[in-house]
Amino acid sequence: MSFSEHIGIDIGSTFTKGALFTVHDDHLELTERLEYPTDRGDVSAACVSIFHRLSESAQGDSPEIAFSSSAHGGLNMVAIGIVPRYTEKLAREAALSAGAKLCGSFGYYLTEEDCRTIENINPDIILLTGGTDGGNMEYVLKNAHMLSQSEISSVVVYAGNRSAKSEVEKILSSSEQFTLYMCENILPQIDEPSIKEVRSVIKEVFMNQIMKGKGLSRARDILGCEPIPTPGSLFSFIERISTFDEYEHDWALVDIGGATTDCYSVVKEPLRSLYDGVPVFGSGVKELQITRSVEGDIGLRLNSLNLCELIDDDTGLKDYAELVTEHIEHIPQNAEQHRFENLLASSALSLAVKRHSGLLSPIYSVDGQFYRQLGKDLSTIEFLLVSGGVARRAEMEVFFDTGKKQIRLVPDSPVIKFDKDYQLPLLSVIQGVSDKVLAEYFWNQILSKEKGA
Amino acid sequence: MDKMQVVLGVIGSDCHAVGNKILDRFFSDNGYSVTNLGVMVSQDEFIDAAIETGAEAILVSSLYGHAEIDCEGFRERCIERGLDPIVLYIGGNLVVGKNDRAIVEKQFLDMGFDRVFVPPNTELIDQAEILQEDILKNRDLSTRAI
Repeated sequence: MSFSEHIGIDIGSTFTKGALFTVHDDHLELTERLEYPTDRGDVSAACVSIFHRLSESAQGDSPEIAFSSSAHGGLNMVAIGIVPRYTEKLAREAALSAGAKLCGSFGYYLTEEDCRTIENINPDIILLTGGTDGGNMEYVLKNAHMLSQSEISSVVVYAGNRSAKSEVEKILSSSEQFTLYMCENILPQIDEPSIKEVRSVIKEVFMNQIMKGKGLSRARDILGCEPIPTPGSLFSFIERISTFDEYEHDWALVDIGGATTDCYSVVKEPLRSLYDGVPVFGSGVKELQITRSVEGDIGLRLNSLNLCELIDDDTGLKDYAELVTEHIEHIPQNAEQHRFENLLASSALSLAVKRHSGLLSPIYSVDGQFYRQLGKDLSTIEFLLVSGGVARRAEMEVFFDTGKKQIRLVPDSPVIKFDKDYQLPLLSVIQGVSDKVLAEYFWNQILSKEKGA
Repeated sequence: MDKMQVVLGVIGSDCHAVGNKILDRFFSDNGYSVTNLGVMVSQDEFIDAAIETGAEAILVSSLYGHAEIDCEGFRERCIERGLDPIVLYIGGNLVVGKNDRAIVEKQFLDMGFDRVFVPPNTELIDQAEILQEDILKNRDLSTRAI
């Protein structure tokens, strides 16, 4: 009989959560769950307390321990590519999927002004890409040169044209201002995106270098492991549980926060072939099966007034939004406030999913009408799993205004599910459980919970 | 030496896919690195792919008789977006109806294409060499410009 214990902790900017999971004979269970407010002065404090409490609860002496953090702004990145619909787009996708906060992206030649903008952003990592293998070298060489002439000081991850690699390395290592990591090209051929290696390098950089400045060293010393950025850990988790034939569903995770909302989607066929019996054509770089988008203006506290503008309401929703913007720790107190909270949450969910979805535009030709698809087809999505503090208390529905001239490829008839115990970030961070056991737990325990259960 | 990069595709809202596959196969077998964009390709998609792959030639196909509208301003657009020099070829059934071959050829040469293949019945094996010569000529020009 096999038995193991796993402690997962996630440090958020308002709350730090932790859980003890137990695996008996390939069967995962949630044994204990804890949550303390995060102390902004010492983000490690709550994490360390939770760690001690859960360690006492553990039966054995050596539970596996892992933690993630999104406190102190997480991982700030700038993405650089050449053509907006090819490498610039892919560089953005790679940064987002590694769990970064994307602070800027640039295409073609960097100008001196662009360099000053990057200087002001002061990113943790710059992802420099451009050119297929054996393809364009001019842009990456010139851009590397521009970076080396600037006052920017940062980690640079190079994932562009292989033919330009050694030259770029020479240019960027000639001064002390950069720590360099060289990767495989994210676009070796125009129809073959490949972001896996660059993602793992970004995570490694985050763990080795960036965490130092984020007040987490005490947690690291006591827990004895390196932190992972929360969204990056969620992304890897989604990837791990989506590789099994028996759980072949298209689905999305929407993590609704107070200031921002993240949307992750898993779609087997991101480009649709037909719409209304009419052929559909794609354009630009191939859409990836698993993607993450971040909406910096959608949130239930700091950005709730933005959501009000989308909702036709004259019963005081706006006053409620003003109240929660002022008091971000506010939790609905009565039936009416619950109704407002549900309205805000529903529109945050709908808007985030809508923005994540692709567009179809009609093309009229001598052979009749066709469609061109831009972005990802989410119509096949069966489940929308809502996570974040709000998933515990709100009832939600989705409403999409899908447009007339252009068609939004939003989920056709999604079932909304809730991560009631806010387990996902905690489940995501633990590494020592097999993908299969994780997948079983996710699909049978978390997704099977009915609305309101 | 790296292989010469070329981009090919069928322009406009034209869905004729077969000839394009033959060209892809042929040029790949004859020492080129080919990026085939398939059918229904816009001018900007050709140009985007050519920039990213560092292509030295764009081979445009058009089989449905509307090449004139689809290719209007193609050369200018390449120059505007920094693809200069670039070899531009076009071939296929470029215009509707029976037209004098010489007139059609001149029309597309005037639009800035380097070579025009109408009707689409040229010996491909000759084209591989001609294309190489045209690309080398462009390289020569760029060196001299520097």
